[in-house]
Amino acid sequence: MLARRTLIGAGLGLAAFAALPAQAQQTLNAYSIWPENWARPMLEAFEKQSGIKVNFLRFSSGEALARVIAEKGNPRIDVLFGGPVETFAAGVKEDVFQPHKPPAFGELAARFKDAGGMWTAIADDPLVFMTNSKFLADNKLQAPQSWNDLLHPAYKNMLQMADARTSGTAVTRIFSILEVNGRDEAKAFDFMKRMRPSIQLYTKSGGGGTLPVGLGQAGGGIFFIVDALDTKAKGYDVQISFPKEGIGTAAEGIALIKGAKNPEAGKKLIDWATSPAMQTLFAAHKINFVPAHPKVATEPSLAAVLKDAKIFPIDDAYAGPNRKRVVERWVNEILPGG
Amino acid sequence: MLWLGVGLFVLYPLAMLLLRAFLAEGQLSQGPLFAMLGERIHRQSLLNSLILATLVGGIGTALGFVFALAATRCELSAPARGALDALAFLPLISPPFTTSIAIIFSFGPRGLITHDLLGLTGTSAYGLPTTLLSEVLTYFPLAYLTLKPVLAGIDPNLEDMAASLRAGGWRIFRTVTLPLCIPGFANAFLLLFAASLADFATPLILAGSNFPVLPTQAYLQITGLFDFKGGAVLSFVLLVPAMVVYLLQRWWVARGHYVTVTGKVGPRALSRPLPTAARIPLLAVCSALAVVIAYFYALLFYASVVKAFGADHSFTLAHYRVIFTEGLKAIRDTLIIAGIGMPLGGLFGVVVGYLVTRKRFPGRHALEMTVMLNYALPGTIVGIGYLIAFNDPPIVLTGTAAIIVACYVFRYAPTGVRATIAQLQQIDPSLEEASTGMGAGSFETFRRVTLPLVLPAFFAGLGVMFVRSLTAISATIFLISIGWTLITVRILENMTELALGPAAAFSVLVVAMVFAVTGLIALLLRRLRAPGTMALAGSMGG
Amino acid sequence: MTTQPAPAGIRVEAVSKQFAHRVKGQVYAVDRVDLDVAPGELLTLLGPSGCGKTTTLRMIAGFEQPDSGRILIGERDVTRALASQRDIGMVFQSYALFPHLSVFENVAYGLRVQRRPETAIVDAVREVLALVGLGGYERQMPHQLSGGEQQRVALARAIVFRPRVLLFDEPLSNLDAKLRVQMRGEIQRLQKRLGITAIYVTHDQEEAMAISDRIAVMNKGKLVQLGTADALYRRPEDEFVAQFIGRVNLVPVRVLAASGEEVEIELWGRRLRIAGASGAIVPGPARLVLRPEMARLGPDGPFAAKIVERTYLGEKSEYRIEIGDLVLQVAGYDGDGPGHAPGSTVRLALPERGLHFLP
Repeated sequence: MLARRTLIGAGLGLAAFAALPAQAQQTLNAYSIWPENWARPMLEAFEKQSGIKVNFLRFSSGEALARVIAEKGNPRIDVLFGGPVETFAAGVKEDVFQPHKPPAFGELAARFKDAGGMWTAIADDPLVFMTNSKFLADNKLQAPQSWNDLLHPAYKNMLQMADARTSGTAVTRIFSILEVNGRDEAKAFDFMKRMRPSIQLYTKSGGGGTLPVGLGQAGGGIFFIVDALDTKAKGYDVQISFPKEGIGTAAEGIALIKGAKNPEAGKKLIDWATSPAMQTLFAAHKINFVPAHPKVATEPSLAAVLKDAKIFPIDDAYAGPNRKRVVERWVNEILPGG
Repeated sequence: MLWLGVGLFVLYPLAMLLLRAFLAEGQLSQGPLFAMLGERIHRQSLLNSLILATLVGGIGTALGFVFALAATRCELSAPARGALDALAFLPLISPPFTTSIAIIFSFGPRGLITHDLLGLTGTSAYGLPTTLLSEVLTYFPLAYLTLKPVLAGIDPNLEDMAASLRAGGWRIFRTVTLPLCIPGFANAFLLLFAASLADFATPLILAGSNFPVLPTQAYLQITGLFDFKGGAVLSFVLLVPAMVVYLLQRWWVARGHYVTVTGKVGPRALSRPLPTAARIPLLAVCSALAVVIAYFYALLFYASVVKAFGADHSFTLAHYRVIFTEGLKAIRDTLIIAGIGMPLGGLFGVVVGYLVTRKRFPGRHALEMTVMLNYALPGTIVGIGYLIAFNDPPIVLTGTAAIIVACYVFRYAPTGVRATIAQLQQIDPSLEEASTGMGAGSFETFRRVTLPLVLPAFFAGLGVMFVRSLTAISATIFLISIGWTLITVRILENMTELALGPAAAFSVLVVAMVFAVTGLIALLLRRLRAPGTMALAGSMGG
Repeated sequence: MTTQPAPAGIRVEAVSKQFAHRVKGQVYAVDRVDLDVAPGELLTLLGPSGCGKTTTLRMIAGFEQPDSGRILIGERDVTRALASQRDIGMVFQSYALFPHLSVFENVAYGLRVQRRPETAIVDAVREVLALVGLGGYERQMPHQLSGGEQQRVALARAIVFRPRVLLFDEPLSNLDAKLRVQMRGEIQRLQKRLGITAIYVTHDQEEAMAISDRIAVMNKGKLVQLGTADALYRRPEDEFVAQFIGRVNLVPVRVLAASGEEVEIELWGRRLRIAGASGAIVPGPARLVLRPEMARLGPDGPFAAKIVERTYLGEKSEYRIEIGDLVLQVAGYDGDGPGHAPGSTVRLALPERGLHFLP
């Protein structure tokens, strides 16, 4: 078996060699938690700028993390690209990253980096309530202004939001509810139980509910702003609102995998992604992430949306260690429903 | 040699799966099983899976029977019968999610059908009814393909006989036709039950949170929570009913059909057509189903050529551009894997089929049973088994194309094995003996006599391998990697990312490619004077 | 046992049926066939496969509709009646036993359709099974029976409700030769005993001759001759019938003169006078229907012939003899004698009366 694998490896090596006569092109493997249509223009820009070829595969955050953990003994990728900070915090706990402090490290706010350099933020992404305008009009409702508005009977069976087993959006949402309830788990879970009858579907990925809300198949849901604004941009008539109690925001991170086969290329990507070089591209590609780097201005229309919102960061020191337990409790108590 | 391959890729992963499920701190125990079943969601999932499978089996068999009646007892013209067959063939070769996409658009609070057409409010696109609808549409062709030969095989004289004994049309149907189809019903029901039990893709999209089913839960347990043990345990829970159904079905088939009791059928007697009063509702059901299927596929195609379905319906080819640029790797990988898998799987099917029918060696029945195992088991079990078995030394295959190819070969070649066995059983071994007797060597005999005989089975095997390589997801979703990805997995990704345009475009592409390749193979088979497309379709299902 | 209703005659009047043929387009499977079956008679439809005999039978049974013509059972026009309303019993080549029903239930099927009381059903089935020699087989399933037994069940089922007409579609062709001979005797005795009018389809001329009151020979959709076995054998109306029934030599002759049934013919250069002649007896060329057993080989006779080949069959020998430029088949009853050796010359004599001629 071993002999055969070596043979395959040799064959692949040869093919690569034949394809690149001048200089062996550096390559880099990554799992992207960002959807393909956002990750691709970023990574292509990086390829153009660095000459490093990037292979990537898109997964939901839970899946990506599960794979990284599964491959710990024999890592297949170099960089985990994008995804909410709690995923990275959980990764640190599973010991799957190695530290790298990019040049921008010093300039970033504390919540945009792991103190030890295990991960660094490339963007910030607040959660929002997104509701279908027609649904609101039909039910004579305003866009929800409080978490408790979601308990209104009109929402019964009409909300879509992500499944905590696979989606970081969901985990950020759950931690938002915990924060709003003063980290009182009993109170927070009680709220989620009361919200459960409103849930039409828990989707596999964070943005899974946006289209149904856009189409009116669902009345509303809780999504990252980047997904919500994307839905609006496609032409669906939806409204974006924020709860007065506040809602969490998650830094989007990047990290170097422990035992990466191409660490130098990986570091280059991280250096580039954490710098204004990449984050100024958000606006050009109509990607509504809030840049993490202080020197990059938030795109004006996005800034306008966020103006009066009460947004708080998810504290990874609290979320990281509690993630697994909280998710399991959610699976057991909330997911099955009444 | 063969045992080594079968042992490695069939038994070893299954053993590893069971080991993982029942090994707790180095001790075998049922602890993990009870722990998983202790959780309400998992008990509920098991129950839901069984309910869903039973309903799919029952309704799908009924629909399949209606189609089979229409095809055999309604004096339809040849083109009309061809249309029936094509209609039944379409869902069989479609990638997963095709009906799911259309159903999401059609039902629910703002669905094209429930809201726009019927004006209903408060409906849901998720749950048992839509999952059931999608699975029934996807799997009823299996029942059709099983029941059509049963109906066609009933000696027409039996029904004429009943008529001459003064029985009226309905009484003949009730006392003769229907009872004679019972073995067929049982077979079809079990096939559909197993297919639904194994289906992971449909419930993932449609079942929703209030109707969890086992294969989807096992998938989420592993990919979401990285809980291999939990996934393995859930797979085991799924394995039990799957094995029961598999053994039941073998038993039924071994009992044979009533139809073969008497000798040769009299000359040129045509099946007794049904009375017009019965034909009208039958054909109405068929037409309705045809309209539904046509509507779903039209919707799928439409979604692939408009900018954003539901919001912006202007024409665009952008989604096709996307799949041929960004999606090109998935297409290439899929075709490469299919290209490697096809000859290997075709050959494997023919060789095993040949050995099992023609050579006497110890354990050949065991070999046949074992080879069939991966085919009979739900894909989720096979995929998880492979993931557990080949992720760690001594044999590390995860991340390679080899693991996907191996999965396809050992999971779908068994249809080729069955086709070969069926083909060889029709041919007297004395043909081969005669050739050897005339001084031809054993290789010469194989080449000149046996090979042409099994060639149709070989091509049917190739066809099945190709179709499955392009449409399967339940096992391989666990096996894709950064180096090797598949179209079906991309479709799922697109679906969950709500890039429905590219998902629809990919699906259209898959249907087109499968139609092209199976059409070619059917043409080849006709050249070889073997039963064409329907044989292919038959081996696709059974 | 229920009493047998009075047997009904069957009339088939100018019945035609066309089928679409893959190559030839519309062809007549049955072309203006007339039949008149007397009450209590057993009439056989005989002909090669594809001659239209089974289609004719199926139209009488009501399984197929004629394109034109009428079918009467008794005095009733049943041309458009359903099979279930024709009061017929049917026995198929494949027996068509219901494989999911026991012997008892197979036979009882027709009675259950008529909602007879249970006790009457039990009695009737017992009685008819005894009649066909299958008493005690009630609980067997069809696949447990031999071919002959299956055929008896099929027969019992067809007669249990005393139909006015019995139809047989090649009922014996799935049986081996010996059983076939035995069964045809049983069918004939049963039919006579019950006095049911019957139509029997077969392609086996020996079977037809053994069982029938009259035989209707069909060819290419047409009825070519209808008559008793003896008439068909001795006085075939055309070459097809002559060839199909038994073996025959058709010898060219010239009819010189004819008056009544007496003719003068010229054969191999000699003039012969034949009394009681039939067929084409008008002056001019004709063909003599010469069955192998009609010619006599011996020391005397008007014609000289050479033995070409001899096949010894025990009770008789079959010779191929050469006479002029013709080779004839002739049966020789040699008794205890050694017979005629190939190559030897013999004399051939013909009977002087009762010869039949074709044009």
